[in-house]
Amino acid sequence: MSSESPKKDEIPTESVTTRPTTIFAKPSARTAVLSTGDNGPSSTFATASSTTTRAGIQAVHVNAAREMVSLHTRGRLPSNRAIGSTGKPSSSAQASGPFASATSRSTTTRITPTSIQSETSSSSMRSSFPFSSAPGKSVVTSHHSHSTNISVPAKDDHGECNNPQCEHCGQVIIPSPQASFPIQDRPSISINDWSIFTQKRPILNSQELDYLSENRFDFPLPEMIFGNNLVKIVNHKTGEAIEFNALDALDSLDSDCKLKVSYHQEWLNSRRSKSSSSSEKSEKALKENSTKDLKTFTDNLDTLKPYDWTYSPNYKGTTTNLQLHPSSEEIPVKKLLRQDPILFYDESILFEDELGDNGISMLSTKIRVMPTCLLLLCRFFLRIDNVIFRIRDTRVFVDFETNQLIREHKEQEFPYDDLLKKITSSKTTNTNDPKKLLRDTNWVSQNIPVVSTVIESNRVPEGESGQKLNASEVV
Amino acid sequence: MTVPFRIPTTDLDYCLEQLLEHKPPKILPPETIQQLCHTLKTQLLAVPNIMHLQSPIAVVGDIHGQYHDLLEIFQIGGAPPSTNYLFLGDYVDRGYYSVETISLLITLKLRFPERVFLIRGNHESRTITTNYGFYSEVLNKYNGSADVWSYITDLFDYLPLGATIDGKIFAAHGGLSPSCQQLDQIRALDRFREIPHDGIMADLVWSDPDTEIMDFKLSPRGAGYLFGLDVINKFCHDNNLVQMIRAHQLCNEGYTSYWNGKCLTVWSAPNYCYRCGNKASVLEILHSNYDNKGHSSKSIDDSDDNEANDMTYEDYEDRFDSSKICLRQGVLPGQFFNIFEASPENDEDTLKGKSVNGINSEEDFASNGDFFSSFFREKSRKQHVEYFL
Repeated sequence: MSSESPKKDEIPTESVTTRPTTIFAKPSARTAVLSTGDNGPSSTFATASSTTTRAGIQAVHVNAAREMVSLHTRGRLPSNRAIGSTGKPSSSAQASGPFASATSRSTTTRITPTSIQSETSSSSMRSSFPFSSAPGKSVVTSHHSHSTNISVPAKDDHGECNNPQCEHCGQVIIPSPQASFPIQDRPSISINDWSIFTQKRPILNSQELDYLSENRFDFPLPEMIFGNNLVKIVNHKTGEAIEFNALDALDSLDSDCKLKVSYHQEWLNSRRSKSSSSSEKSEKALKENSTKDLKTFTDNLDTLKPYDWTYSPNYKGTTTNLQLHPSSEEIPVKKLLRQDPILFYDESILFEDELGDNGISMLSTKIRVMPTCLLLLCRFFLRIDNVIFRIRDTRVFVDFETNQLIREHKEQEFPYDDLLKKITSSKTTNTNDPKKLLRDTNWVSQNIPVVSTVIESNRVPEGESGQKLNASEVV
Repeated sequence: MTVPFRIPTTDLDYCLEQLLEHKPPKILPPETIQQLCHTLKTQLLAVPNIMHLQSPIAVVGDIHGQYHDLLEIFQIGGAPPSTNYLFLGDYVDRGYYSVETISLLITLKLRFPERVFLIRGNHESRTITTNYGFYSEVLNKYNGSADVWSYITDLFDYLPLGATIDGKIFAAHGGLSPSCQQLDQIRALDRFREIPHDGIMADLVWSDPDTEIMDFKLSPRGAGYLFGLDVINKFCHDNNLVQMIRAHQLCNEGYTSYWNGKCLTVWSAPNYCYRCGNKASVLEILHSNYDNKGHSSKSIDDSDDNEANDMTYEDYEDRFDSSKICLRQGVLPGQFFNIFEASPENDEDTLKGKSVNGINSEEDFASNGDFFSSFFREKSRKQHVEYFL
């Protein structure tokens, strides 16, 4: 990685290092955030004189300045510097990494000029790209010769699309939402007959939650629901569509769950022993005291209506006009391993719950769109500390040339302790902090056995069109 | 090694300077943390399980290692010692700056012992911090040594469990316990230990209010409680309280009011985990005089429709529109939620789930020690895309 630029050392850092020292003085300007809206009641606390203003440069300006400098610096960098710190050796066919090769393909990529404008109008912080493509850098020819019809945003999309794009190669990169409001991102892209939409918004607010718990769900909902996030794949010609969203996933839960947290038995025992010894006392107390004693509550305690508190969805996506048939044709991994340029990438979380700090339950999506195909992964990951791991992956593959759609649903499960043993017994992993790996969903999915796999396709299998093919079960 | 009983103010100020006036904040050396923790422990030994505090005070909920957002709280609410603060726990885990956050809070507590008050949350625990990030962060920031983690988690055992404000408001991290009817039962606990799975101490940091239920209900998880209106009414009545304030539950608006202000949730981690897009709040309590207008403090006990009218309080109408804010936020007179959003500085240092000050430090700081070169190298090439399979 010879990405070091000699210019970097000359950047005067002194001016930006001045962290405002007046953090402990009371800046009067910032009290405007108050929701009360009139003369700030927080002034009642202020004993220090509130005339002091913040010294130094505002962080926002510092950021803008840094971004400008970094843009200049990047422009001077050698154009073929490698991308990312992973340091994969570039193949000879793609001399300057996977992304830069897109330059040559820009002939096949038609980008509407409006979307380029939207990039410049968005804040400068958003315009950082993971690649550096140099104008005029010639790369070997692309390996697909047909012309692909691409448009950003999608042809029939009327939502706001803020996809920042590289001016040189027309690559589309979707940033994660920024930590500022309003957070909304609704990018889209069309390729041939297919359009892809994603939408990202903050977690549901209390009004939305109240509505849902009154009208749709009769169980406590996960802690964080990104109920307005979605990813949708549509074929305009055939009307086939598949969508992934949190609410439909929550509709697919089992009605009950046998799993309990690790210390459930211990907890239950101590509660039983207490309540049996206290039942007599509380009855007495009830007679003596006309007021109801709190302890009587505990004696006839029962649980809430049972529900799947692990939020493990049986969800393979919401489909419309999509006929899927059991298939033996697997998703072509070879094609996906090819590092074609990614025209569109997005990831988002649909829901997440920390199970009262007993682990994590999370449903998330990732999508990448290449010129010839797309891959969508909707992953449910469950970790109950000291109990179990569970992964349910739904992958959707679409080939833009043949219009074939393949959906694969794979379930994995493994006891917690067995996986922890795997880490502590192996010498290569960092045994200092074994639980770090247990938080890595990719690592976990590669190290626990598959329980079942179901593959479906929108093609009727050839020669067997009449009879139904059983879903291929893999141990 | 002899450890002095008091740390000189100048030393504490130096620690504050290290944390506040550098960018990224400088972490304190392990020996310093050890000494700070030791001194604070000796002071906390004398503190009762439930502290007696007075208004005015600002109550802060979960922070979860979001250091920049903690600084944002001081920006909007005023910094200690000009404002009194009660922190309701959950200082560490999940955010990328747990070390800086807890270091700053410990130092502030020592520097302004009568202005800053810390109570214990469910994340102030050894088992939880190994699962949710604080332990890993310490290993990353202190060259693979867990010493700092053990100093700080030992200190957690000394934190008090709750507080009363003006004797009328009860504040704890989570909620009420079926084993506890009197505040004195909490006062009598031996709190100097790891949070157990069961009992009053566990319930105080774990349980949640629920408007749909009555009594206590077991959580379907198999451990933990939910409590309803009759429980909190009874508890308040028996202990001469008007309200309970707690944290522990994420909410999009940054606060939740249950039963017309009988119970409030304060959440102080905006854009939680750098992805939730939620707001956060600090509850400012100016006073707790509820009976000046002849209304007894018990008027809020029942959920009558005219109750909202009882909440108007003319003394403070000059200051802010008390009735409106009470109706809108569901708080009692003299209180309001100061709502804020994520500090823009989070964007600066948060890089695709990694903190420039934390996880990346091994590669970047160790190699050339220059934060800004790492900024220019990493920031401009944010890796958004991934060839996942």
